[in-house]
Amino acid sequence: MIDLLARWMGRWLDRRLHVAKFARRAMNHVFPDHWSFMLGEIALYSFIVLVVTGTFLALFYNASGAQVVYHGAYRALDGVKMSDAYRSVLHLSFEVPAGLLIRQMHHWAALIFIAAIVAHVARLYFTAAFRRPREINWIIGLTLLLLALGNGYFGYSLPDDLLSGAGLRIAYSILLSVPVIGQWLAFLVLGGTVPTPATYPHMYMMHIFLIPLLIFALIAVHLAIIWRQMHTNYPGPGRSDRTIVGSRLFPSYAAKSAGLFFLVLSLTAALGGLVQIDPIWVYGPYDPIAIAPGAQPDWYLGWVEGAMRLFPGVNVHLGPRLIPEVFFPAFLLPLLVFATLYIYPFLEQLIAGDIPGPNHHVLKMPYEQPGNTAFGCAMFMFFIVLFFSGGDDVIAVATGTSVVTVRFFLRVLVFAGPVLTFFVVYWLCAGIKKRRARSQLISAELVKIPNQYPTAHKIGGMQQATLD
Amino acid sequence: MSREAEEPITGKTGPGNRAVLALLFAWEACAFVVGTFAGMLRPKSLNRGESSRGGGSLSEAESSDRSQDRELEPEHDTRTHRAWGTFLVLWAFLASIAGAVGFIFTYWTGGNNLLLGGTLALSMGALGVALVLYSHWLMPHEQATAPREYLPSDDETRQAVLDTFREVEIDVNRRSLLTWMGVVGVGMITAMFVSVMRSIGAPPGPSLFDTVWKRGQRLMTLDGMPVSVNALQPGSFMVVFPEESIGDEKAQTMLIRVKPELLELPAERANWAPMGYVAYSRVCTHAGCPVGLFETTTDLLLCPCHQSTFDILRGAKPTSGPAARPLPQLPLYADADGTLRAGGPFTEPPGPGFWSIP
Amino acid sequence: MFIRPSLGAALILVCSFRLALCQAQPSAPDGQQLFLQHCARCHGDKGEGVNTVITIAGPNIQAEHNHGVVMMAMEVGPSHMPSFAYVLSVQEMRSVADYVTQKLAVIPLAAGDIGEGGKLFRIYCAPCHRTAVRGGALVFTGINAPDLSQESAALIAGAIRWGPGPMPAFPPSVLDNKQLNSVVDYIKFVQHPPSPGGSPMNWFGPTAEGFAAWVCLFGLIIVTGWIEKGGKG
Repeated sequence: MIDLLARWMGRWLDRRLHVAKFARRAMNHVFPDHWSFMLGEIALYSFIVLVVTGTFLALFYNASGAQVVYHGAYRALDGVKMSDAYRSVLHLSFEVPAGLLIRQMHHWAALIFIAAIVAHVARLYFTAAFRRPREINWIIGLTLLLLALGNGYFGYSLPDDLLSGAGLRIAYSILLSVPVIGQWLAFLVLGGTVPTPATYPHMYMMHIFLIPLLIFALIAVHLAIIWRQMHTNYPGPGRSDRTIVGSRLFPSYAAKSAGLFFLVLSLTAALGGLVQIDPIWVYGPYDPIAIAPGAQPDWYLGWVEGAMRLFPGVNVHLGPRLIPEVFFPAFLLPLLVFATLYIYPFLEQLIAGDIPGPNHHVLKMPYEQPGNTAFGCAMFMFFIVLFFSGGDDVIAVATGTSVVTVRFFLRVLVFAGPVLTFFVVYWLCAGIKKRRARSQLISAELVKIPNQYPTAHKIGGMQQATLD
Repeated sequence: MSREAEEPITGKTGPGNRAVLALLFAWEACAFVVGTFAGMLRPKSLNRGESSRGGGSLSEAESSDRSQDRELEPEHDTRTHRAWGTFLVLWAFLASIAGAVGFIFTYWTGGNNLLLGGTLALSMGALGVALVLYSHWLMPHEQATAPREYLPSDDETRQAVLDTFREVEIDVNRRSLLTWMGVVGVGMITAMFVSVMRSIGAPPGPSLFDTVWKRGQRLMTLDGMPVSVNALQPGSFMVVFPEESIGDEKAQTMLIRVKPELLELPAERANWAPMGYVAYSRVCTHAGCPVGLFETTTDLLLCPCHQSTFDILRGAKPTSGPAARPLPQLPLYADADGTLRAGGPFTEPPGPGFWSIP
Repeated sequence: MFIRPSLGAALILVCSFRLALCQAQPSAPDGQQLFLQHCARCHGDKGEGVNTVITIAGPNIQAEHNHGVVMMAMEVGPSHMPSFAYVLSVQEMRSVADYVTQKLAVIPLAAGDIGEGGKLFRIYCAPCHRTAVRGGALVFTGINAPDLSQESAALIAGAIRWGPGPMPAFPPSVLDNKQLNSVVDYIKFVQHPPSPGGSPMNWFGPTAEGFAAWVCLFGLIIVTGWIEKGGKG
């Protein structure tokens, strides 16, 4: 029966679009069989969940800063003045059936989306997958990460609660601190000391239209390039710069990938149903006179927050002009981080002497490139320490210590941690690399077969990786 | 293309045909269900070396049997394996259906969030598991090898593209015209686009330097009441605003009373604190959060966002944390009625610093 | 003729009995005296509370209108307070409780406007205690702002007026009695905020949420390991 349907549909489409050849190539497209190649898919499927849940939310959200008085289901805010944006999210959370579930799914999916992107970038970094010919996709991917960060930030600022409103105010201060163009930048991006009447419609437009449009377009290009260039492979039998080994798209990979989609959706639903996120009714509506500690952004901006807390209060005067202290940790640091990431493939080519060089389609194992791996681990440690610094007051309250003590330790750790990590990881990788090289040499000596190329060896009936 | 392409099986669908189709569909559905179970008894060949669809061998991807692997995993060939697989997939799918039914039921009976999320998670998770189990147990375990395309094109094609591109130029002189058209065109479109940005918001203007407070203005509470010198005792504070701008975010001020003998203000501010009342801007000079915490035992103002502390007794100088500039101070005096009034504007524009701050 | 003398005799008998009874019983204990003797050391002469270097000796009890609560406190000795079960008799405790609830309790406790209370809370209280009153970090004071989720309304109201330790006091000119009651109402409500969305993770906020997201991502990665099990890459 399914066979019948497939044949009929295929013929119908082929008559109009000449798809048979493409369909055949598509179904035979080979995907490598390793879990680490699925991280990008987790990100993609989280994005689909975001779009679907976001569409639902957009039906109820009202991007208006107009002040209204609340008389809804949540009695602790009865009679309180708030923006209509906040009121609409309260209405969605308490009075719309499944509204809270969808809203929480949306927020959790955003956190997982960016986490998956970061994990994916980490995998690419540690296996040197960004090398020629994949620099373009690396750059596109980093841009996707930036867009995702921005969209996440605008997204959780839309409900106009006390926590995210404070975050908007801080973002305004950061933009203001940029030398020379700071005032103009702050007014262009945020329209003045937030919140202004224009803030919510602007953020809403960016969040549901402009940035998702750019993300969609870049994802399409990203996937098209992967399709064109084909995936990389881990080193192994039959895998080289000339052949790719894995499973075909149809039927096995499609089934696994579809299964992963439903599992991602399921995880998001489980989180949305069982673990509360962003309880805006407890934070209360944004009031520029009110504030509360525990004012952290979502995790993906926690490192910027941590940098802001740890950076000492130094004023840099250039003559009569001032570069405020927030500029360095909150603007310059992220700029440097992303600039380094963007040029990293080209930097690596320079350092490795890969110019000019061939296209690389076989990945390098992390231990084969100790410098790269150690640097990457050190940077990860740096970001992790900064993330925890972003919550230093929460740590202080949870452990019953003084935030000054916590901050002191973190200030030491933010330097000591990465340096220590670098040396430890370098030493580990170099050790593994040496041991592997030695064991391969030994086995090569033991099982040399005459009349073979000296570089190809057979171990136990299976073709061992060539050493070229 | 085979002759079948000209005669699709689903021809014109008259009512008679539709009835036949419906019956056919029902028959197929039953056959599928029965066949699935019956299939467990029927031995099937697992040799997928030749593709059964599309005819002929695959030129792009060769599917190897991994006959070596088959020795390691003989159970893939057995009926038991397929039976187990079917059993597992079926149960996973049934769990998924149960979850979906649960979700719909919970939703229509005014569902609580935990149940809604849990049933949805069960439904989608079980479906995902079913699909993965299907691929593990019931799909052929093949490993495909495909050649990679050599990405750089050959010189001939590259030259052909270059030649096509160069056809645009009629002669050498027109080339620079085209270039200039491009450059200037892009420039003018950019200029027009950028100028339209002006519609988005007002330019900064002098509002950044405005401190709102003026000399002689009374301090007012959020409720609109003036503040008398008896309002506070040492060790308490209140949030005050200038007379005409109650609730203004920039003008919000912390009015604190401390013991007058503890104050160590600089000489030029010595008379800014009548009876131990001091007033500082409530907008943090670090990133703009309201500096809401008054610690009475240490006489510090603490900003809860990044934990900057300001010394109340010494003109709100930052003592720890990331803030670099002191909070702007508001001079105070008590008038004849004992009402507190501002003796002038803030010492600096309130809020975080910027390039051209005085 | 014998009635008047017998009545007189009866009267004298009754009076002497009553006199005897009065002498047998001691006079009703003086609540104020007992309070000054045993309680003022920690709670202050007027129950206004006593500060120590870092924290407090005893809280402000000027909002305690509940007789039973005072009795219970003296019996049990909650938190740092010693128990007076073997120091004072029940009679004495009763008179102390009377004194506290009738003479010392000057802060009125009544229903307030919870919405208004929330608004004031977020301006004055949330900066130290956090929006879900789970406590906040302080600097250089030797103590953090405490978790209020277990405190009684009376002690909260008393603390607001008095300002224990590093906490500032909020006299009626800052928060009048109606506003005080509204704030206390809101604090009582937010001691157990509604969490219809599921587990609130102890109201730690975005840091905990980010942590949870990464834990779940690692779980998902394990799942992808299962999906591609046996895959050699």
